[in-house]
Parts: sequence; structure tokens; C-alpha cells
Amino acid sequence: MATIREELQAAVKKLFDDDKIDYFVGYAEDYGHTFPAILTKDSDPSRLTFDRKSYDNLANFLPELRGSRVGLICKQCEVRTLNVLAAEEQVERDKLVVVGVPCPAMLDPRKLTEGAADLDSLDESYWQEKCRRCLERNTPLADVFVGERVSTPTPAEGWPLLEEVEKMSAEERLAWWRRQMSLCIRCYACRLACPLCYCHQCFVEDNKPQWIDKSVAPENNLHYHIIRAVHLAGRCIECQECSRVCPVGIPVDVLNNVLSRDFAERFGYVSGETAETQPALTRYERDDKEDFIL
Amino acid sequence: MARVGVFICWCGANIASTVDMEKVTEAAAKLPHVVYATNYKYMCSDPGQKTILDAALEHKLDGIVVAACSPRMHEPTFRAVAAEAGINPYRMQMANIREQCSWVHGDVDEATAKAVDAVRMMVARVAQSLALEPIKVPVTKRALVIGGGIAGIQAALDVADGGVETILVERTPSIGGKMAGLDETFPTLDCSQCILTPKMVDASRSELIKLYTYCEVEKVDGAVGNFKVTIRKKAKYVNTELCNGCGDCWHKCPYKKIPSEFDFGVGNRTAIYVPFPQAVPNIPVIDRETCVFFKTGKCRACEKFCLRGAIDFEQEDEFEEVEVGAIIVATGYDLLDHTQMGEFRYGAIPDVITGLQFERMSSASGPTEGKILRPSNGEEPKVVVFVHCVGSRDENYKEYCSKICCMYSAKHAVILKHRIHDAQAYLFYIDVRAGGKGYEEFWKRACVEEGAEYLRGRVSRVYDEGGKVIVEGQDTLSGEQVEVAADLVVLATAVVPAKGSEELARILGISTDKDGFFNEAHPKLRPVDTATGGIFLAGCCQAPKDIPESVAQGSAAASKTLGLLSKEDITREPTVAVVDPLICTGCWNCVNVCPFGAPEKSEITITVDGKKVTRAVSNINEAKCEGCGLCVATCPGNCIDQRGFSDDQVYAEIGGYLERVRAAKNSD
Repeated sequence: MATIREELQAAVKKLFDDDKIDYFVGYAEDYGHTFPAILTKDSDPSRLTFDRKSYDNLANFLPELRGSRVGLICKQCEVRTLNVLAAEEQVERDKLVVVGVPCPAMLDPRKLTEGAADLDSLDESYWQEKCRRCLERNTPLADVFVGERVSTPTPAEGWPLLEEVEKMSAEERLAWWRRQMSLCIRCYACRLACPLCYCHQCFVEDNKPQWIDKSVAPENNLHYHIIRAVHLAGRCIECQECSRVCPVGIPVDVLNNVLSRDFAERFGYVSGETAETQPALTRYERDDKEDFIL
Repeated sequence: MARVGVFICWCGANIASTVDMEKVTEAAAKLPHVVYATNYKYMCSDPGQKTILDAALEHKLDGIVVAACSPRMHEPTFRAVAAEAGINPYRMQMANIREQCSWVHGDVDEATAKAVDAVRMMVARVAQSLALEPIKVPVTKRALVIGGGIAGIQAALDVADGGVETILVERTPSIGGKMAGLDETFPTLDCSQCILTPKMVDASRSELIKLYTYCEVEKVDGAVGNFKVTIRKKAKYVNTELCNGCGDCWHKCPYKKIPSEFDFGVGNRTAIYVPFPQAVPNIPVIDRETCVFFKTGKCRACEKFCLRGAIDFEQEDEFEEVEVGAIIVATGYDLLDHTQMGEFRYGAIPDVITGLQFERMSSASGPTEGKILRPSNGEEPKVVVFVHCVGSRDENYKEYCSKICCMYSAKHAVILKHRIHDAQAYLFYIDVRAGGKGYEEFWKRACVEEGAEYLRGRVSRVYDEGGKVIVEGQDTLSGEQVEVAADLVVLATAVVPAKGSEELARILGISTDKDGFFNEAHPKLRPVDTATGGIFLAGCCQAPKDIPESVAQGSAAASKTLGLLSKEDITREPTVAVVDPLICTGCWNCVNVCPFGAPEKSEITITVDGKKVTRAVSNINEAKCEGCGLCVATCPGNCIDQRGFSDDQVYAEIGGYLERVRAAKNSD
């Protein structure tokens, strides 16, 4: 992807030269990895890149940069995050420059074998699950667009793993979760990777009252993950970063996905769908469904 | 350690017969923090209060738990005792061992155990309670009355009489309400307009009353003592400064066949109109919906004939924000839409009318100039059937009694006899409810002196045949079916809350009952207050009422308002929400959910990792916070706590309960 790389670098240079931004959040390549990078005016943009391993949700860095003028690469995932963050007033949209890209679909690192040949040619079976559900692969509402636009395949319905879990009986499901939770080491990588976990003080750290037991035991771990999922109810944009970064491979996002589905079914609500979408849980409509209130 | 005293009340036998007082006292004395525990027959009595006071001083208490009735009853009493003993009133907590314990349990051992739990929980809570100081907020000395019927007018006059500026908002073009359209009033048969219009004039003349006619309340912010009210001033298309109410415009308006709302369709009005001749203010408005100019762009007859150039088709709705300290709601009633009630064929047979339509016909200033006529052919009716309880006391429609119908139907029968001497009135009734001064005598008079025929039973069917309206019903006293061939049928239709009440309830943040009437704070002891501080009720918006009751409640609401506004400042509960600005992320969820606009967007500058950072954070305006706890529950970062209900207190309380569970586990 030599061309998009060059186009991107030129665009970023121009943004700094025109004094449009104070920071640029993008991806840089080193040692064969693609990782997030924050550039200032004086940084060297030559390592900036965008490829199929540009995994991280860059919107994660925005709340920290609140108040500054920031340019960032936005895939569909970032756009939805941005919409939620803007609705929750964590970012000021008019201070952001959205650099749009044609997203080639991100690869699932767990499916990649060491030294895989040509990343560009890998087919759908190597994609991250979220990319099969992508609604628009060319960044909507981009202020600047780099690269050639691509077509978006018909999005897939549902989440295969969620469906699998839901087929289980209650006992099987509990056993399955227990097994998953017994793996959790409470490194909080999921929390760190989540672009919508931006509280200055997490409930996990509270000790007066202490909401949850901090020791690593399956019950406590499940407790943590459930509360986290509930805190993301009606907010999660299903970027699956939590699952991707999990060092022990827990599919944490299953909990979020089920809540997102409930919001879609009950309220016709898709978080971060448009820039106008308001937070579901603090919005009140007189005809809100109340059939779930017993 | 805190020094808590526990005072357990027998409430005579109310508590003591089910809860073992000595056991609770003994258990309380052993609790951590507790330095003194005792029981007494009536803790709220003077000697009871003295017990607390003496013990507080003797044992140097810094916290008090009174185990007695619901805090709804005696919290103020015991808070005052605490204050007298030099203890912060918010370090006094009541454990409810009556309503939530002795009254609902029979087993002495279990009830006693539960009472001990309640005491243990409250002791734990008091130990965590902070001393709080009441918040003082200055009061805006201005009142708002919503609704310009008799209740609202009376309230406005009385508030103004107390020297307080009053804003009277009325959504129709004139004040006067339903009473302005009535004929003679029961039981004295004095003319409704003759007794009402002087009050209307007083209201318009008063320097302290500002009339906002053809206006509606759009939005209400703030709380008791300091409401911010947005009033929508609907475009009248008439310059009120220039208009002198000469009437040229409405006489020249070519569109004369619009059913008049004020006459309930008995008469017509023009597109530019005043609802009735004695309207206050006597300024017409143009009804945009029916005005030919607004529909076709042509006409402007009123404009041409207005010598003062007062017509202004360019006007738009305007919004004005006013600040008031108290609000009186007097939005009145409407009649149940009974076109759906097939049995009465209302709307289908022209000679079936409502009581209010009868009023307009018999009113001397009404469209027929006081002549009672059959709408179908304009002839005088000789046989008139009055049907009581149409939609009232009927589980298919409204279960309640509309209260005024028995009396006004009797009055109608009397008026009928006075106007058409050879007419016969038949009244179908279930019971005659005449519980007012002179009311019983009045309906007896209708019956005995005026020859009205009372038939006890419901009407089963109404249909037209040969130019008559046939009313079929049952006379349950004789057990016979009755059939009356009537010229006119008058339905005493159920009284329902005025249209738009539900929306207004939402705007004001007050509740309604199942029928949509506004709820009073207490059905017996606070019939004029709502549960929301500073908002009072008057007239039929609370329940069906006749004129004297509406006037009485209007005056009562005015007296409540004057009481509130006579204070320089009001004391508000200090149990408000507080934000910890160090952990607030400024998501504004609190701002979004607060019904009172208490959380405000603000900023703090703090040092994080040696760097100065300015963060957007929420800040609660104590003067606006009602302590409902919505923001506390909504805050995703748990950075809002509520004074008096802090996490520490609530957790201590729960911990106090769990002691029992723990003890039970250990003994297993």
C-alpha cells in the first residue's frame, strides 16, 4: 500500500504546515508491527502508515487530548467511537480533523501465522469478526480522505460466538464462562484498550465502598467483566478491541454484543451510528418501551 | 467511635404489643457506638422528648436513633430535639419499627428480631452521618397562576391582596373560564356572570395582577421559591396596545359560521373574535386555523375596517421567561368526550345536548338570548329528559362521581320550568347527591315545587322517532320499564381534567391520579399542596368541584402561596448531591437526567503528574438540587454522592443488617 502511505504522510504534513492541528494520531510501523503513534509538528511523519494490522481504536487517545486540535485516522470503528465520545462531550468535534481511509478490513492476529506472505491478499477467513459486519468501509464524514475508495460487502448478521454461547444450556453456559473467567488475570488490558472506558477513577479501584473483590478468582473476575459490560451498555460500538488485546484470549466482547443487540431490538438504537445519536441511557422519550419493567 | 443514644418508643400498644421493648433495648445497648439505650411509652410526648434531651446531655451523645414510627410522622419532632441537645439534626435517624414492623407482623419474636435489625442498621448509619447545615435560598416574591377560571381568578386576587405580584396565565382569549358561560347558579339561582364579572374586572384592574391571556406555560425550571417559567404568548394578530375593542373587526369578518368554543357549538363566532361580550381583556384574537386570509391569502377585511390599524398579520408566537416563587395550578375541567358512548347517540341526534350546552342556551347573554330551543328545529321543548351520571359512576368510563351534576341537573329542571311554564322535566338518576349548604333543600324544591319528575334508574337507549327523542330506561323503584318521548335530552356528562393537563403535569413535575386529576400531597391534611414544593392546586384540576369549593380552594392556595412568599428566604434540605471534581469526567449524564437543572457545567484546574490540567467537570447548584438522587445513580464514574444518603451511610446500613446474617452463619 505504498500509495496510501504516501498520501497519508503528505496529508498529515499539510495539516501541520497549515497549522490545523496540534497532534496527529495515526499508526506507525516498526519491527514488522503496526502500532499507534501520536505525532506533533516536529515529529517525523515518514513512519506513518495504514495497513491491515492497524488494529488499535485510535479514538482511545482522544479524551486525554481533550482541548487540543487533533487530527486522526478514522476507520468506521473510530467514527462510531467519535460519535459516542462527542455525544458524551468527551471530544469537541470541531477541534478534530478526521482523516478518512478506505478500510481493507483488519486481520485477526490470532489467525495469522508467523511470517504470513502477502497480507493484502488474505481472504475473509482471516478477517476480524467485526469487519464482516462493517456498514461502511470508506470513512463517513471525513474531513480529508486518502487512498482509493473501496466497496463495502453486504454486512454479516449476528455474532457467531454469541450465537454459539446462547445455544448452550444455562449450566453449560455458566461452566463455559467459569472456564473463561478462570483464565482472566485482571491485567485490565480490556479496560485500557476500550475507547469508551475513560473514567478518571474506575470502580475497580474504589475502596470506599469497595464494589468488587480485587483478588483474581473466577467469581470476582466475572463480577468485574459484568459490571464493565453494563457500564458500556448502550455505548459499546463493538470494535472488539477488548477481546483482541486480551493476553489470555477471553472473548470479553460477547457480553457487550448481547447488550448491543438488546438495545437494537428494544430501542432501535445503534450506539454511535450517526453524529446526532444521543446516549441511550440518558435520553428519555415518552414512547420508550417499558415492557421489560416488571 | 461515635456516641449514639437509642430511644425506643412503645407508641402505646402500637409497637409494644408486638415488639419486646426490653429485648430491643438490651440488644441496642450492646451495639458498637451505643452508649445509652432506653424505652418509653410515647417518645414523641413532652416527657419522651425530655428523656432524649436529658440523656443527650448526660451521656454527651453525638448521635441519636429513635426507633418509633415512620420518619414521615415525627422526623421533624426529633430533629428539633437533637438540635436542642446541641446535636446536628442530621445525626438523628429514625428506625421505623411501627409501619414497617409492628403493624405488619404478628409474631413477637420475629418482630422483635426485625426491630433489632432496624435499630442496628440505623446506629451504623448514624455513626457514618455527617453534620449537615440547611441551605438557605432567597425567595422570588412573585406568584404564577395557571388558568383563569373562577379558582384561578380568586387565587390571583387573594395573592395580589396580600401584596404579591401575580401572573395569571390563561390559554383562551379571556379569563372567566367555564363559570363565565353558566346561567344561574345553584342553589341560590343568582346569575353566574353577574357575580363573576366583577371579579374579572378586579383582576384586570389590579396593579399587582398581570394578565397573560391567550398564553400557555411552555416550560418550568427551578424549584420552590425560584421557578423560571417560560410562557408562550400565542400570536393574537392584534396589537393589544392599539386595539380598543370597538368590535368593528369581528362585525366585518365575513367568516361567521365557526362553532364557538365558548358556546360549546351552540352558537357561532367569527374568525376574529372575543369569546363573549364581557371578555377580559376585551381584545379580539384571530384564529389562524379558520381565518380566510391565513388559508387563502385574501380577505384582510378586519384590517381594512380597523380604524386604529391594530391588526397585525405578521405577529408570531413570542416567549417570555418569568421568575416566580410559587405556582398555583387552576386548569379546570372539560366534559368527557362521550360521542363514543353509543347509548346516548350524542352527536348523532341534534336534540341530545350536554349540560354545558344547556347552560349556554339558557344564559341570557348566550347565543339564543336565554331561550331554550331544540337544536333540530328551533322550537321550544315541552318534554325534557335530564340524564345523570353520563360516564360518571360507570366502571366502563369513569368510576368517580362528578359531584356537580346532581345539582346542576336539578337547577336545569328549575330553570326549564321558569322559562317554559308548561314544560315537564324528567330526571334519570342513580342517587341524588346533595351534600352542600342548601343543596338538599334545592333539589327538593325542584321535585316538589317545580314538578320535576325524578326516575331512579339508568337510561338504556336513546333513539329518534317521529321528530321525538325516545329515552328508554328503568325505574328501579317501581320496577317498571319507562319510555319518555322527549323533545330535548340533556346529558350530565362526566367531568374530566382539562385537555392538556397531562402535558402540564409533566412540565410542572407533579403527578396525576388514574383519571388524570392532579394529585394533592395528602388527601386529607394537605389538599391544596402538591408533592412538589411551591406548587399548589385550586379548583377542578384536582377533582370535580362546584363554584364555592373552587373559590375556597383558590383562596386556600393563595394563602399557602402568601405563607411561602412572606419569607425572605426558604430553608432547603441539605440532602443534596455533591460532585467529586477530581474524578468527574464531564460526561454530563447528570446534566441530561436532572429534572431540576441542578448540575451545571464548570471547570477545575488541577495538577496531574506535575502538569496543570483544566478539566470540564459537573458542579451541583445546591439551590436547585431537590435531592432526588437521579444523578447519583446515573453517574458512570460514581463521582456523585448525596449528602445524608452517602455511599458510606447506605453501606454501613446494609452492613448493619448483614450482621444478623453473619451471626446466623456463625451459630450454624
